[in-house]
Amino acid sequence: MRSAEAASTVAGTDQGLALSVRNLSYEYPAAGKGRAARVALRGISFDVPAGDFFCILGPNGSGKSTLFRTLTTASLPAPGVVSFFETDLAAGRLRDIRAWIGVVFQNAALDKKLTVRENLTCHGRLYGMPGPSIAEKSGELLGRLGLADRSGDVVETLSGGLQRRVELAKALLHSPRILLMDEPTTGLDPTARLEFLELLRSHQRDAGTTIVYTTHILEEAETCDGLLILDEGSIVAKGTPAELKTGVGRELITMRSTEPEKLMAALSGKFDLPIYRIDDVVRVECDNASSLLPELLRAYEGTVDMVQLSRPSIGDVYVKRTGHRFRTGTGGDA
Amino acid sequence: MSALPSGAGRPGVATTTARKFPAGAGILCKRELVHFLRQPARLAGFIGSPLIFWIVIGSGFNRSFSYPPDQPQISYLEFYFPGTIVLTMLFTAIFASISVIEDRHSGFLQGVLVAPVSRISIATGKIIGAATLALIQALMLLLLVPVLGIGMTFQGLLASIASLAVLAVGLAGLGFLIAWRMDTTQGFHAVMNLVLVPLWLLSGALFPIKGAAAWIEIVILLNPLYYGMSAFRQALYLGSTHTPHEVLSLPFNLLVISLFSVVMIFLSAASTRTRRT
Repeated sequence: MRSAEAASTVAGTDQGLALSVRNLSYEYPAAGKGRAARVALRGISFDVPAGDFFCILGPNGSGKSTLFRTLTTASLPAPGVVSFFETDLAAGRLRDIRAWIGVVFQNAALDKKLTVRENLTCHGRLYGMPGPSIAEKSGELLGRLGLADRSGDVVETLSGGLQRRVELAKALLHSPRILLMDEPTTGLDPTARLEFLELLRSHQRDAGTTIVYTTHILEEAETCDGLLILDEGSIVAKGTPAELKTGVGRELITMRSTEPEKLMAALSGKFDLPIYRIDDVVRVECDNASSLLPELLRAYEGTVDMVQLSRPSIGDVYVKRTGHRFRTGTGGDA
Repeated sequence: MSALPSGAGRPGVATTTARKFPAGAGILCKRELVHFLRQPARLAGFIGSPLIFWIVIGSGFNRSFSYPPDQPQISYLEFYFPGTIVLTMLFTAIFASISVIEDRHSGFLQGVLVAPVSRISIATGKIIGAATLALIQALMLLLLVPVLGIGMTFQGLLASIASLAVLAVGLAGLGFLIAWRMDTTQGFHAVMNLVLVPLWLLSGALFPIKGAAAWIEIVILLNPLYYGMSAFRQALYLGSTHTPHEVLSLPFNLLVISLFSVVMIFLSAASTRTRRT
């Protein structure tokens, strides 16, 4: 947490809670006769302090896109309460709240037939900005995002990475207090992804904007200030990455075997440690992996195909809390 | 700490609530025009095919067509000319407003729907943009008036523009209303052929209402496009020697299409509330 003095050095920096979600549920109506309604969110609650870089992690189908859509005000929370800067979304100030939020959608929201600058102008007008401040702010953002020499180009002629930057410029144009992003690095190659994240980070540091970011990429969740892990519509973990990782032990030994049940039985009979099986691997949480490993191998008479020592990652937190692997995949998400 | 953090001191936030309606609708309207100007093929398509219809059908029926016997006779090319303009407007206005389907697919619309603009601004911007395009094309076709030998007066020109403008808004609104609920443009083509083309066929564009079968006469009177057609036909000759034989007066027709247009805008705005994704 930042101290009050530190926060006040940046003009207009928000304090308190940027976002608060209470008992939010969402159910998609049955797709046809005889089919059950699909529950996407099961009464979730969490808070995002102002100025945080907050990450919502979940595999495809975990409910994070539904959550995102509710946060963008595209669908109103029912049942549940969503407040931005202590203003309830249902309190009749929807227009004010919308002006506070900047959104970067997973799919492009640009008009590809317009130029970069025309897109920004259109956005600025929709957000009620007067012409001169649109011009000034666009110039500044395009310069900062490395797009200054492309401002007259029609968007469809830009590369995917550059288009994402235009999305970011657009979302930041009206100086939002909170930036919501739904898997914004989708479709970017690893280099472009890192560059994009770096731009985001530096904006968050400089402007103090709160950032809420959904992702299904584990590495992207490692460096955030606060993290929420969603699985099947419920929150399975929340906290800082460091806090969450302490729940998994200091070190992890992962062993793969063709007979994981036998391995599991052999080990859990002899060691008083958190030991659990996920598919064909057995995981042992411990504090002294290098000295423990030979003992583990001696304890099991069968074959062990692979052994791995590691420090716990966010992926390990997910595995432990859900009991299954983190499924990554491409395509639609709910 | 105060209960509600104010947006003061943050550029963009303080100004947002002050200006809402005109800027939001205006920029969406302008966007339609920019799109259109970047696709010159659309212009050729929407003016070209009604013109070909006009020349072929107009010339083909020219000798066999006759006005009701008690009326002053005009050529079929001349009779069918207002119908050609209305058909051009129908195509342009509706095709421009169904681009809301593409806006949804391309993702552009999702950004607009979470912006602090009212739903009626979104609908109005799109509809006025589409209607403007339709009106521009109609005015280009009006340049043919001297060729036809219609002695158009200045008041006739003004009345023509007024009736076409109001009709264009109504047609664009109708297009928006249909397109908002649709997911594909393929679906829209079916509606186009089943609803919109018959709407035009039964608008008095092709044949006068007097002299048609009685049931057609009833259908025509239920068709909002008929009132636009009739208003424009009378406006075209306003103040000249020829008076087209129309059942209802110009002011009454204008009133009906004005009501139609306003209703279309409100229904369009209302429909944007029913679908949020």
